[in-house]
Amino acid sequence: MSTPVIADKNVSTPAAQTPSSPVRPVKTTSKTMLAGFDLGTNKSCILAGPAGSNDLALSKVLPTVVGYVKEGIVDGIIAGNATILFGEEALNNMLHVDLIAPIAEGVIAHPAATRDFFQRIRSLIDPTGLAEIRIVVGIPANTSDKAREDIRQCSLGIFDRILLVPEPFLSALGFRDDTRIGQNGYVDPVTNSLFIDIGGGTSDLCRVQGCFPSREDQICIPFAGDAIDEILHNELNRLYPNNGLSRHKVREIKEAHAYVGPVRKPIDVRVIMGGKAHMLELGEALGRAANTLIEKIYPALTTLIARASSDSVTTLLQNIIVTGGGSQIKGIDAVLQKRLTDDGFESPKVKLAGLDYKRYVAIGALKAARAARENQWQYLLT
Amino acid sequence: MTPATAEEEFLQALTSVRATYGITSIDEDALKEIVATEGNRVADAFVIAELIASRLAAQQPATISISATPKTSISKPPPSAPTTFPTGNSSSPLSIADFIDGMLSQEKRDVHQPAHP
Ligand SMILES: Nc1ncnc2c1ncn2[C@@H]1O[C@H](COP(=O)(O)OP(=O)(O)OP(=O)(O)O)[C@@H](O)[C@H]1O
Repeated sequence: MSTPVIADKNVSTPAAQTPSSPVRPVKTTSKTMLAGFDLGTNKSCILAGPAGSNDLALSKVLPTVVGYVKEGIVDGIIAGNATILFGEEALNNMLHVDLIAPIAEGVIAHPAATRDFFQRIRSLIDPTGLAEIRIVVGIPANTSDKAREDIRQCSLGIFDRILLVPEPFLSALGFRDDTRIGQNGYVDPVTNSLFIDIGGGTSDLCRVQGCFPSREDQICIPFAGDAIDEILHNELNRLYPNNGLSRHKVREIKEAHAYVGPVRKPIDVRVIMGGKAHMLELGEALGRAANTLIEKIYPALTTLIARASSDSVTTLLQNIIVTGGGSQIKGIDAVLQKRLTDDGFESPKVKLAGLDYKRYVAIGALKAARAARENQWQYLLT
Repeated sequence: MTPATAEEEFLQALTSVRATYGITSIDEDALKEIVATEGNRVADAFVIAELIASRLAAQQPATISISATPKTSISKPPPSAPTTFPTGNSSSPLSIADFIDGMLSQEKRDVHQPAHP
């Protein structure tokens, strides 16, 4: 196959920065690696293994963040005097780097940082730099053509073949228990289910009913965990002016205490403001911020249910699965289920995907990579 | 009170250690790191189990029933064709490659007939 050429216009790393992973030499490839990649706004997950086997060579979750080491940092402060750090390493050296989040609201916001992040992913998959990399990338439901093209452009010269597949569908594939298909009592989620994937930038809802979901089966809402953080942050600033709390801290508070449903009080949260410890009662603020999410996703949920055929809707209602980081918000399954019941839907059952939600999209993506036919892989061409 | 989940059990144990040995007896950062490391270890084990289970099921679909996690089950007649771990040439009605075909033809249609905003 042809080796794609890197278009210089796409490698615009910030001035005075050089990508930490060098551009690959021309390949004399013998090995192909297959990868499943959940490119998340906050966190990404990558799973990879050699083609033709079911071995897993790489399984990693890393924050989707790139840190460009600031000028003038003394030798030895950053391990190996690296100029670009990724994921946890970038966050751990926050003071010494310019932190860039390549993705915002599910789409590429910083192409140069995205390319550097992809280079890093490539070097994790194939440290030799010689293998052909075929990668299935999870993208939000109904991603625009422009946003898809941006991902392809950023992948040029880094990955060799690519498939972009909507995340909620990959969640269903990842969640599918291949060993139980065909067993009595097991409903393959791919045959009839509704996935609600609440991430950082977007909430994606998708009906999967035995064929690839059409646009009408998917709804993407640009409201998710990051928007809850923003509401909570504004509320905290209103209640406690000059609190000095960072967005990162607000997110931590949300992740520890967020809930939906009736007000839970008191929720006392210990925070450091101006160097002193304070106990803040955040029961109402947390509930208000997180309940906004329900107001956003519930209409989309009922829209997708209403579009299901009368033959399939009863089973579909029993198979509503909440995944993504937002599935960890306390009470989200119960609140959605109660609301559907109160609105007269027939015996709805809303379930949580579970703590492994972080890996379902990537597992689904790796399954797709292993199943894709040769002619389905798309080339990355300049 | 009996803890309902592993997380609650952990928090109870932590509270009791701190009550006995003082609030600074466990370093917060070290604790976070241990929790993160163990969390990753469990997650990796889960992924490996998930993929190995599929592989074993593909070899002996009729006799092996392994599940990496207890997943939800709903009463509904099983699909007629037993499905094995997907391979590039699977032809079962719900093969992943068929789904991908569906996706690609949908993309082609969208190019000819631009979608909603
Ligand atoms: N325990 C928790 N309670 C509430 N929210 C949580 C919890 N854990 C994680 N989150 C939130 O979930 C969001 C991240 O979810 P996830 O990792 O699925 O998203 P992502 O893949 O990074 O983003 P996207 O899918 O939008 O691209 C963040 O806003 C995070 O704060």
